[in-house]
Amino acid sequence: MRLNFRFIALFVLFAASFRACAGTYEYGSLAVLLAKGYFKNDIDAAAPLEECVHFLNSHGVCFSLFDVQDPDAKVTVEDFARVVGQSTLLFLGEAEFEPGSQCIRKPLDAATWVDYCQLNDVSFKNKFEKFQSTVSGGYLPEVSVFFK
Amino acid sequence: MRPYFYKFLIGVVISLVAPFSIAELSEDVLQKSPRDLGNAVKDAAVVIYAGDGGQRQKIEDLGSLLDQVSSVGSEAAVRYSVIGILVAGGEAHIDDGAALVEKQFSTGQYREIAFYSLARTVALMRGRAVERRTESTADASLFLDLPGAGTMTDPLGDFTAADAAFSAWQAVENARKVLADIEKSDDPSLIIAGRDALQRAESAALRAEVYARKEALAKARDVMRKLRVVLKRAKESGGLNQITVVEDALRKAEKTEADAMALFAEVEAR
Repeated sequence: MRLNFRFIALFVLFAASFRACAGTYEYGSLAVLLAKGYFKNDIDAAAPLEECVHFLNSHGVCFSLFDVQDPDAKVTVEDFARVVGQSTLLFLGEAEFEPGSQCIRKPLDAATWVDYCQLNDVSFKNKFEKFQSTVSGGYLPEVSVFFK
Repeated sequence: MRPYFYKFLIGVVISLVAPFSIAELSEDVLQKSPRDLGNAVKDAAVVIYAGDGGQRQKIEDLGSLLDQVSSVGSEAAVRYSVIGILVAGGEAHIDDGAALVEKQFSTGQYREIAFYSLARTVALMRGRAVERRTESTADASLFLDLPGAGTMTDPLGDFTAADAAFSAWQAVENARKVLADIEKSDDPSLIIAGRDALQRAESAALRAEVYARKEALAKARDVMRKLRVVLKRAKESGGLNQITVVEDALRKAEKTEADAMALFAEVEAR
């Protein structure tokens, strides 16, 4: 009985460490949640990861393909604020692009995207926390299917 | 004369060497982390794609980059370098990049990882599924309350609040008819009660209408924002038919806004 308990404890420890090593593809999860939440009428609820990323990138809400395919890349607050801010600008009709760039640029009156969100009452902090708890719960189906 | 000759000679040597040096990754770069190496490959590939060399020269230079990455002996380095080559070429060069990667890794120990990365990067760039579609369990409601999130449908078509306000005004009309009959009677208390009821019905109808107009206003403003984006893009791409349709829709939304504002001003004045 005691041996069984030890075995189970070891297995749980192993599984936890394996999951930590496996990475979480946070940027992929962010793309899926953003596309299917904010753009839910433009993106099919059953759309795969690649469709979400392509849709967002083609509208100037930029996701680096290095980040999306990096299992260990962590979404930073600034990057989270950036995609939320870019999406907001897109819907407000105020999106502007740098010459030669495919990405919506940060308005000049804000030093960072976090500043932009705060100056314009775009709530993102609670969303960021909820996002972190979502990704800590494991892969989204779209992500696990794409990287299987 | 001689200094000019040397300058000319140096120029010739640089122009001969430059195309080859572009495709060289320094030892320092090759020692970097796989992801940094992938970024360095991307930067080098951007220079190659933008260069004056012919298509064949470019493919050779890109192939040389991948050869150098293979010599590092890391699967992750190969993976990020494949991403780097494709990202550098952009959508315009997806086919060239894919053909190059397939040729370069058609055999050898990195074949599997190179082809895996190639398929996924191409899928992400084109937005086409490489796997079956997935029903998500993700709670995407996280982003639903951002400004502008919601439908792109015409908000002027389906207002339950507007329907309620319309019904309320119909009830007021009926109440007025009933009151007109009551006022013919000689019962003062009944007349007072009838007038009071009519006043309350009018007040309720007005509140319902303000509520409906507020809802309409919010939706109209949302739609106006979206339409302005569409209009901007249509003007950039010169889609004349689209511009007319969008401008009509914008005028309709602006009228809703103006009507709502007029009613609010009227209510305020009371």
